[in-house]
Amino acid sequence: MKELYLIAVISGEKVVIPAEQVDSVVNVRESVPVPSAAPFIAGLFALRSRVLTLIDCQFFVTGEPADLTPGQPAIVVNIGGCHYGLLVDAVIDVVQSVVAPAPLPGQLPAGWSDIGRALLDFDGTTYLLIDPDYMVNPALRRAA
Amino acid sequence: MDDLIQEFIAETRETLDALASELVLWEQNPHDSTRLDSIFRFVHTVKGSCGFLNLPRFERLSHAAEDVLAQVRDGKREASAPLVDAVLGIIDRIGELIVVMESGEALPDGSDSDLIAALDRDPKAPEPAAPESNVPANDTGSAARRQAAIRSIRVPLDLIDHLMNGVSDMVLARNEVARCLRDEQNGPVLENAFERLSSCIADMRDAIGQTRMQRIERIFSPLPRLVRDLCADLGKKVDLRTSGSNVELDREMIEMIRDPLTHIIRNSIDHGIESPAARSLAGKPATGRLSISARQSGNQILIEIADDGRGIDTDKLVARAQTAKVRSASEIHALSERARLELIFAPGLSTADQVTAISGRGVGMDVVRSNIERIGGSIDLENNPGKGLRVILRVPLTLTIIPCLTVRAGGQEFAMPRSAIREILFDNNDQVRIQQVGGRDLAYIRGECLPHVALETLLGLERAANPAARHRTIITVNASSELRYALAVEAVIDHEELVVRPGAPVIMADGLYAGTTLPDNGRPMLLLDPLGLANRAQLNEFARPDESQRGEAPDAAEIDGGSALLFREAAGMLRLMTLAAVERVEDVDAARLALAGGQVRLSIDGESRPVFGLDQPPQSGHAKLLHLSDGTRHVLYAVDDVIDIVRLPAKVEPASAPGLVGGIALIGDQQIEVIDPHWVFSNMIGPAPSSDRPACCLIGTDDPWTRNILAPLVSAAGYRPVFGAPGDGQPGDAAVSIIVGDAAETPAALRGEIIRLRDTLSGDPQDADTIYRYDRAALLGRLINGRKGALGI
Repeated sequence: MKELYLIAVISGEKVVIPAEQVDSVVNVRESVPVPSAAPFIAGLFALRSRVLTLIDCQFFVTGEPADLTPGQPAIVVNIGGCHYGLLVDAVIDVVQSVVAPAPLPGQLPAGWSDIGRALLDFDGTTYLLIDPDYMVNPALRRAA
Repeated sequence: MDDLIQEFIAETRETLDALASELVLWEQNPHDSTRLDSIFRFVHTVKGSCGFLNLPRFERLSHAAEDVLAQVRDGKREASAPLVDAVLGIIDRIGELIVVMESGEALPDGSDSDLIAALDRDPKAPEPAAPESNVPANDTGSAARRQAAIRSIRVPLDLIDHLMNGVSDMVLARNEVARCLRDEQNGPVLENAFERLSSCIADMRDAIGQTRMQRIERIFSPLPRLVRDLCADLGKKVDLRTSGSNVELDREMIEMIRDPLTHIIRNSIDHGIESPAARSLAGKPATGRLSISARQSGNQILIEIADDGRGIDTDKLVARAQTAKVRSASEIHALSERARLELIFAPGLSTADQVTAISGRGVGMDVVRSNIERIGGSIDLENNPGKGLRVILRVPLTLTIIPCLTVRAGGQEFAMPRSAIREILFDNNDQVRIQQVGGRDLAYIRGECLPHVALETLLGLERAANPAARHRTIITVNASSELRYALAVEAVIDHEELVVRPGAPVIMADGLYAGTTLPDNGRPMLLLDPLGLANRAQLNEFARPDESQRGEAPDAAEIDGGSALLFREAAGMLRLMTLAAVERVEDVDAARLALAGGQVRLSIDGESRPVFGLDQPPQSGHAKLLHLSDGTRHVLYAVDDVIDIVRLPAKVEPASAPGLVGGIALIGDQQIEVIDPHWVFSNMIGPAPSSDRPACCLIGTDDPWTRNILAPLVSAAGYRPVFGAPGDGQPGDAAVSIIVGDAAETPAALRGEIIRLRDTLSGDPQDADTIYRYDRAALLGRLINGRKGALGI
């Protein structure tokens, strides 16, 4: 079982995202806010001729909206035919995993338990595997 | 192999759609050999493909059907009704299996022996118990499966070629621009290269737009089958007619109107058209008529569903509304006839006496309307109690490119679909009064009271502290046919056509936004949903009673003179044309115009039509033409540019002399000439041929005056001049006779109106029944009277 994972930083902590879900990583220069939308939506940004929705990953963890610094990286994912940019602090590396993800050890603090799905080990370090599907539409999960 | 199966699915589905109407026709006339042939071909093709693809179930079905059809074709068996039913059953089963396959699921286990057995049943033997009873219920999941299927379209090869060539051109043009930039050789060369690139891109955009277009035939062709099945279930007879199936529509749009259209048709057949017995009692032919037509009008498609059934019983509707507590008694009392009819759109209301399997559960017209309005369309009813109902759907041509107004609010820019916008005013306008009543802001605009909301408040934005514009702008919005409001924004920026894409579900979920777009400045922009804004402002409860009470007053459209198209003539002046006469506006390639028979004519749809307003076809480029139609005939009117659509004032000052300009309308404080479309038609198409016109005998001296001066006047008044008295070998049916000259004898056997002209002006009152030959007004007056007599008016 060899799968690629992208290591990124959300709210100061390193997390991993399955690389197969990642379209690309881009730097966001500016975004346009979406008034009265859900608080985790950081805004809209243009990628070539497409308009993407920018998701504020930090909001899920801290409950505080992040301020976009020009050039901040965003991970572009395609979920349900729609493109989103997951705004993260930094993107570090792509790694290959040889072990299967392990289940979460009990209850995590509030924000992390929503976005975290499993634990994953690389070279002696354990990372939280996060779930982009949840972040682009939390209402769906709650309804289910 | 997968590719082949996909191909097989797509092809079979397409043929099935096309075949649906053939099947119904075949049923009506089982001896029609051409229909039989096409059904046979279909079954044969399916059989051939599935043998190859190893689909035994399909093969068994098609093989059995093919055998039977071959026997019918050879005359060995009679195409009886049970046999037709059995063949239809097989084709339906193939359709169901295709849907299952399309979703990528494994074919369900099941035996088709029941259907195959039905084929071989001797038509003379007594019918056993209904064979359908043991058909596995595949229906429930099929709709959901259809959703899951891969979305694909078929595109004509030459369109793909065109796209490919266009892309190659674009690459070449880009290389040229790149070279110019490298050489720093700016100026005309770069400009030319850029120009070329721009036109390539525009062309590509059109072509891509075309790949999305589909004929409305796609939803029309399954209708005969639907109607047949409904009629069979309900024991009714309906003659379905469709027209305009070659109208093209964005394929997304086609999908969106499929369900509402089906629903309206079900309603029509179930509730509208009566049973054959009831129809004969009402003095109507036993077979009901249902006609469905589509046509393009500007950037809208009109779909009309008309039946000759019993129409909507508004009294019953009102009674139901009262029992269902949709409206209170006093509210209902105040409703106008139109508002009563609109109750059909209220949720949870139905006029059906009993709930049937087909319709009448009260979930219906409200859903239909909201679906149509969601795609920016509208729905209108024309009710004719006892005689029929006409439902008119208006839907925009495409979802993707929408004319929009860009506005600024709270330091941010938004787009608003132009179709919903009625008027734009500054808040310092004399016509506007904004007042707070009971905690809600109301705007009085020319006496009309509208709820007034600020966009910033709705979106939870701060108002800009130092707006660039001193006055705020008020936009009056038609959110739906019965909901209007005034929306205040900081400023209106521009009017542009924007390519709109749906936004992420989290953004769309709010209902405030209809999509996202990327304007030229590269900053994404949100498209506002006028109806969603109204819901956010909780305007529905507020506006509806208001509307229904006002409903007693005549509709605004009836007071004023309707809509008119404001355009610029080639000569430069602005003129108006009533919108009803304009079918559409088209840019026509100069190559399609030619000077023929003294007129500039356009070759269009395989015929040649006259063009008004051009003396010479343009040497090159394009000409903008208005297509005018009186329902049957078409005339083209060349214009320089189309500017706007305006409301005509109630009073249009008539022009002093008849001619191209029929009157003068005051738009704002500008006096603008209004074209008389009748004059255009009569001038371009010409009056009725002379043999159809009533004859007018010119009796007396056959002198040059009679021939050259009187005769043209007589023809201009609509007569066929005949020289000499009826007795001179002319038919005696002249409607009017003119006796010229004091000396002329009055022939004995003259019928109709007789006008006597005298040579000299005389004051003698005894000559009252004669007219002086140059008393034009009196002569014309008599001629017109005579014409009325001839037509029996």
